[in-house]
Formats: sequence, structure tokens, C-alpha cells
Amino acid sequence: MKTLALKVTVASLLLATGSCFAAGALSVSREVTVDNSQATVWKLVGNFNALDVWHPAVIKSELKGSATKVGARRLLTLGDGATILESLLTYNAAKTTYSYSIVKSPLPIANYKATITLTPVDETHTLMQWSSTFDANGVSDEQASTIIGGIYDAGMAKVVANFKKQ
Amino acid sequence: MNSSILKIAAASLIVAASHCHAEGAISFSRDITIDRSPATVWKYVGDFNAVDLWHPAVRNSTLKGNSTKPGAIRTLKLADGSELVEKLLAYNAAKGSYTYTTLKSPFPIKNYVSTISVSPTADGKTLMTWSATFDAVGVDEDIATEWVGVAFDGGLGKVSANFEKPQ
Repeated sequence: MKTLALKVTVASLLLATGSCFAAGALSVSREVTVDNSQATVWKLVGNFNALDVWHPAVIKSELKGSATKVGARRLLTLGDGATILESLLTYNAAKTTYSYSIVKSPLPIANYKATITLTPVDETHTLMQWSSTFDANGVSDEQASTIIGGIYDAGMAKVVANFKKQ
Repeated sequence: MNSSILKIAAASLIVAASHCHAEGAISFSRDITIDRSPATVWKYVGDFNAVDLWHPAVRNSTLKGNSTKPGAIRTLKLADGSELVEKLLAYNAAKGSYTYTTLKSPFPIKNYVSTISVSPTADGKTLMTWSATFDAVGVDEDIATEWVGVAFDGGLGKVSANFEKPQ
């Protein structure tokens, strides 16, 4: 039994060192179906430095590094003047997905890591998913989740509207 | 006097030879002020292969070549199923401008050469300009111009709406 406990401990340590970021205890995920092809929708949401085009709360996005290379940083300026600094963690254009973390923000959260992914439904419809893990920081878990979910809903609604057939 | 006429004729030939494409007789331009910086607006409209993002009549754009290099060709599939094939003639990201010509189009126009540009206004907004020269084919010039005007207005309207501040 002691051997088993030791093995479990070692396995836990290996898992912990294998991930670069502490995984948050909370998770939020949203998805919408967008009325255009995966390739076309990716042109809008696949650019790590173009959140200022498709998220209504983001007025400006400025990039340091290459928008497709891990380590790139985007500085987002919001409508109220607040800024959010984010770092690109993974980028895969072939799989139409990227993930990023928040380096600095006024949001009441910590350990935030998010992924945006597009998956084709058929030739003219695309499933867009936006998910994250994080911890609340100074607010309740429920409040933190509501804030993040609200951000996703606003962005995804604009993407859906952009491709809505007239 | 003969010498002078000859010089003018020679100058005209040189000017004509410097154009790669026949210039259309009709010239048309529309512009709109957008409530956002040129850098941000350019992300939306500056990709030669992304008119499927910002023009309501364009469903898909596929590219052959490099979207920032002259010679690139985009095929636009329109909402009604028809196709446009267009070729990039000039691209200048620093100036926020590109120029293209139509190779194949369902519209009654030819010799179409068009430029899209974004430039800063004095108050930090963006002036987006879309201009073209072309000839009418089988229709009155007014009709051909109307086609182009409707196309420009559709695109410019969507770009402007995209950057309107949420209420």
C-alpha cells in the first residue's frame, strides 16, 4: 500500500511538471454554429492579433512577436480604456485552434488559460468553441464564471452576425 | 509646331505604355469614415483573400499565390452562386492600400481596375476609399456605374457597421 501511495505521488508530480501553467479550478465553455465555411471563419477568428475586429469590447489589439508563433503577446485595449495582456500558448492553423493565457488584466481571475477552436459542421457551417480554465480572484466562483461567459457570448454573437446570410 | 506636336505625341505614348491595363472610361469612387484606427480597419479589409469577411455579397474567397504579392488571384464565390476572378496588381500594407483587376465577372463591365485604401483622419478615425475605373459592356454607362456603386456601398456599409460602438 505504501508503494502504491508513492507511485501515485510520483505520477502527480510528473503531471504537475508536465504542464506549464497551473490549471484553474473553474471552467467555462461556449459554442455557436457560424453560417460559413471553416476556412472563411478562420480568417476572422484565427488571427491572434485581430480580436479588435470581431470582439465588440476590444477597440485595439497590438502584437509583439509573430501572430502564429508561441510566445506572441497581444495587448488588448477595451472600450473603457482598460488593457489586457495575453500570451499565445499554442497555434495550429491546420487544426484551426489556438490557446492563450492572460498575463495581466483587470479581470477578477487568475491562472486563466483559454482555447478557441473551429470545427467544420459541413461545407457551409462551422462550430466555434471558446473554452477556458481559471480561478476566481477576489470574487465568487460564480461571479468570475459569469464575467468570462459574458465575454465569450459577446464575441461569438458578433462572429455569428458577421456571417449571417442577408 | 510640328516638333511640339511630335513631342506631345511621344509623351502620350510613354504614358500609355506605362499602364499595364487599358484604363476604363468610367471613373467611380466612394468613401466612408469609420470610427476606428486604420491599423484595426486594415486587419478586416487589408487581406486580399478575406473579402468574404467584410462584403455581404461574397460567401467565400479562395487564393492562388501570395495575398500580399502582385499576381495573386482570388476567386470570389457570391451569395447567388456566381463567381468573380480578380488579380492583385499592387499591395502596400504600410500605406494601407491595394489595387486589383477583374479577370472574370458576371457584371456588365470590363477593364475594371480598382483600389481599396484606408487612411487616418485628423481625429484618429479611418477614411476608407474604394475607387475604380472601368467600361460598360452591353449596358448604359449609368447602369454599369450603378452596379459598381451598389457593390461598393454593400461592402463599405458592412465595414462601417462592424466598427460601430455597441449601444
